Amino acid sequence: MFPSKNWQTMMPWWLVLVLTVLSASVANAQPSEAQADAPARLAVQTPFEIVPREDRLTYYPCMACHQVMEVNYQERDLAQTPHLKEQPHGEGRFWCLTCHDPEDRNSLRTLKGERVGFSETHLVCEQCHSHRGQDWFHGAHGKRVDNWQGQRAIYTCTECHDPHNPVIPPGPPDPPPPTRIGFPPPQDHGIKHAPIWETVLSNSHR
Amino acid sequence: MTDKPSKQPQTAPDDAPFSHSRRGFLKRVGVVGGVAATAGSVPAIGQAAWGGHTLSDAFADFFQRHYQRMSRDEINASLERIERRTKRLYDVTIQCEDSRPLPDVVFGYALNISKCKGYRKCVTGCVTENNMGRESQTQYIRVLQMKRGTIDLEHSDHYYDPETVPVAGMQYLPVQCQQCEDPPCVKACPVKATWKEPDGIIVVDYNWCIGCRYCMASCPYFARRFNWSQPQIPAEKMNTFTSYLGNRPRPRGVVEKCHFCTQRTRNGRLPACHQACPTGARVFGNLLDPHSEIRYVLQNKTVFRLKEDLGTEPKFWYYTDV
Repeated sequence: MFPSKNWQTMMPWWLVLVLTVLSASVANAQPSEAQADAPARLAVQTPFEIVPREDRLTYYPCMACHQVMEVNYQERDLAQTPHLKEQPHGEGRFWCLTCHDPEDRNSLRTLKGERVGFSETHLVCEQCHSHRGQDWFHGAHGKRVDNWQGQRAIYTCTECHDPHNPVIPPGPPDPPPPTRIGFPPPQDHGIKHAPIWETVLSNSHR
Repeated sequence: MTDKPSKQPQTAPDDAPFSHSRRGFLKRVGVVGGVAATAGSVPAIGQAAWGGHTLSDAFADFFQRHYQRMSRDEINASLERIERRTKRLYDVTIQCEDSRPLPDVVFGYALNISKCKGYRKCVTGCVTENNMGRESQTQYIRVLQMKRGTIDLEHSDHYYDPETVPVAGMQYLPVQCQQCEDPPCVKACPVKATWKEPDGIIVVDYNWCIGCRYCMASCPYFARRFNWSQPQIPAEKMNTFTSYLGNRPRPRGVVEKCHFCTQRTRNGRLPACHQACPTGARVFGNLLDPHSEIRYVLQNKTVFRLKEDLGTEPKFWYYTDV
């Protein structure tokens, strides 16, 4: 893995590694030991903060209800479930528990069984949509918010896509620009806004 | 039509027309020259005349030097005049700052036309952020609708207004100032009122512009707009965080253009059109930073620029998902 000609350039990385291990041992932070039998909680370091979503989910502490309900692993008709009537995503290949963790409903799960928070949905989506995930990570897909430098933030997949029906439906556009006075009106494309000449005459125009 | 009441709340008691032209100024100087000579520091003369200034402010504005030649003190005095004028004209207290280009930064923009669905949210966000005239409906961004798979600008349509977008078989191409590296508008300006900043943004000194509109004629992207009237901005819609070269309320008779929201981007924030885009089609960043998103797009996506054959070297790229 390490080309010999790059050996000298790799040296600083070793130093960084040693320092990281040292600092980690000094800080004595080993959160994974406490839950040795629980599935690993997957978290990938991103160079930006993902805008958290949990506090904006309608039913979010899902375990508030689901902790008193028995887990039913049986795949059944979605029309009988309280949350969704249909789930077009995957065209019938997925079932709720493909992505939702059966034991901990406050989490999602990957196909390997790792637990993922509702704000890190990209870790679930990327399992199939790896190219989109790569673009999202590097900035060619998805939406950055607030800053272009300094404290970076990004929306996770489900901020824009409904995970159960990811195709974004068409929506109404904002009003079109006016034509200049004396110019012919734009071609009729099913115009629903008032024509510009009415707008101009109804307002004072210096 | 001048006798119709304006929707704009004005502090001025008389409804004298807004005037910022030097000719109009000189006329008034001729009329009240004696008064001006004796009472140059008295601010009570001419409430809405003098382009919304007091007489002393109008006097100082007239003799204000080019932005690039002003000292810090002169710029600060000018910023205060802008704030006072906005208070008088629009009854809004704004904060006008002189945002300077950041070192080692050249801004670039990329836009994913596979993702743009023509919602025009960027246009609305731009108008709101940049204090553009609501009555004149000035807009920096045009979203062109064209047949899918073509870049036929001549047969594109930016007046499209269907119930829902995207329309089947159509694609959308937002066009705004391309912040050319070799800008023809800068060459066309006879008074050097527009120039390229070190961070690559083409800016306009609104106080220096004489309104000849040569730059508009020279721009191949139709990116510049002229203020035919005093911009009318409702007081509650005014963006109070402004900058001298950016979104401060413009006087009548000057050219304005997209400036990549200098008041935002030079403070580390993303432009308003980027912020408003609901589909995440827009990518903004520092071209000199090899780890920036814009550099990733340029290196890994098939990008193109508009009218590349003209040699204006735009810093605005379009790309697709493929």
